[in-house]
Amino acid sequence: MNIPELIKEAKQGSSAAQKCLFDQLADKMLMVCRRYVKSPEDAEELMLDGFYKFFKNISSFDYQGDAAFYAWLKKVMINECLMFLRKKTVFTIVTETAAEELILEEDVLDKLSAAEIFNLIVQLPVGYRTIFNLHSIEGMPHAEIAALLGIAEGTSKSQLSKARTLLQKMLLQNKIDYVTRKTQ
Amino acid sequence: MLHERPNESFHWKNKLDELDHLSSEPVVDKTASWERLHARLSQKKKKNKIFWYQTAAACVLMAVGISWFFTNEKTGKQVTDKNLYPAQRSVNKRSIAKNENAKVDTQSITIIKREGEKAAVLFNNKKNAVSKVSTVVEKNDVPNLFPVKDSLQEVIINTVKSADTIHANLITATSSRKKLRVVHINHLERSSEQEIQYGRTALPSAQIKNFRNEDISAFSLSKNASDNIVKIKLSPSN
Repeated sequence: MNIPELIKEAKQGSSAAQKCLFDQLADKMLMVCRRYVKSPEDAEELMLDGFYKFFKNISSFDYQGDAAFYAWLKKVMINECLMFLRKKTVFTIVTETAAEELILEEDVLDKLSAAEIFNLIVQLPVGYRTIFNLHSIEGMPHAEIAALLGIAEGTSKSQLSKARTLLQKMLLQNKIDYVTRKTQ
Repeated sequence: MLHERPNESFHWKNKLDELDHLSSEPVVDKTASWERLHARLSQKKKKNKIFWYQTAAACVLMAVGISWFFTNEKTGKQVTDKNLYPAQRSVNKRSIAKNENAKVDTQSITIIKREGEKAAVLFNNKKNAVSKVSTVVEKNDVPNLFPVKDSLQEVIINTVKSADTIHANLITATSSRKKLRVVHINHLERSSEQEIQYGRTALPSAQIKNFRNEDISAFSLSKNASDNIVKIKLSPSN
């Protein structure tokens, strides 16, 4: 059964359809949560919270394609993670400064595997990681991130630039074959 | 910079999106996770059901409480009236006993003859359980004592000339929409009600109508009757 049919049946309260959707999407959604929350246990709990809200509000969801559905579910998961982080973390860690013009070589990231990129991201401190995820991966503008996290826009920019610097350093420190891959 | 070159960052972002597990970590037990999630979803459904059951129970209780409250209030008033007018109580009981098979309308008035030209008029309004007792002395007093209103239906006995005749002049005012049923019940002889129908077209709104003895002469009443109980019922004509 494909996703639109599963959603249709899940809207009617079918537990079997809900389980099928969960089985298909749980792994990816867990990885989304893990990008924001380091602890696997917390990430799993947040993933379940996200699915719980998803199934609870599924009646208000209009299916407009797999990509839109996936984006919507991902957004639910990210919101759950941000709510969790807001409770535990104060994002105004860094004073507002101008973003440094640091360059992270993207070509290198392209040459890394998904697991390697993932492991680099989760090693970032929570503030850097959150803003890097929201801006560089989800494509959110700084103004939106600032409003979402309750921080200044400049803080978001400076955190992002520090995150990039740190990622670059980690690439070198972890002895990932940075130079080799760059020149390939 | 990274955010300035979205096309170039497309590939590694896609790679991250496609990532569904880490080979270095154990695979999450999805069955166990689903069981937990399913339990939460079911629990919510149960809570919803309980809420609706509780709401329904509360509504039923409230309905019972309200009906009990009004019933109790009605009974209380009736008891008060009975205590105030013990003379009418027995007569009333008899008329009810004799008339128990008849259909009772929303309004009924029992008129009890007393001495001379005085008559006690007992109004029983079943809707709000109000009993009103008054004494009519003169014909002219009637409109003052019982002003005619459109909404209030009144039937009044004016005079009862003597105890051994059936002369009873009734003055009535009724809406043209109502059918007037005049039922004369004598507790000594007539156990079933008879009726004379006026109304429909005969009585326009708030018109005073005199019922003379010929109107109620159809009743065969005992001359020994000490009380003439005239029960008048008003009911919708439709």
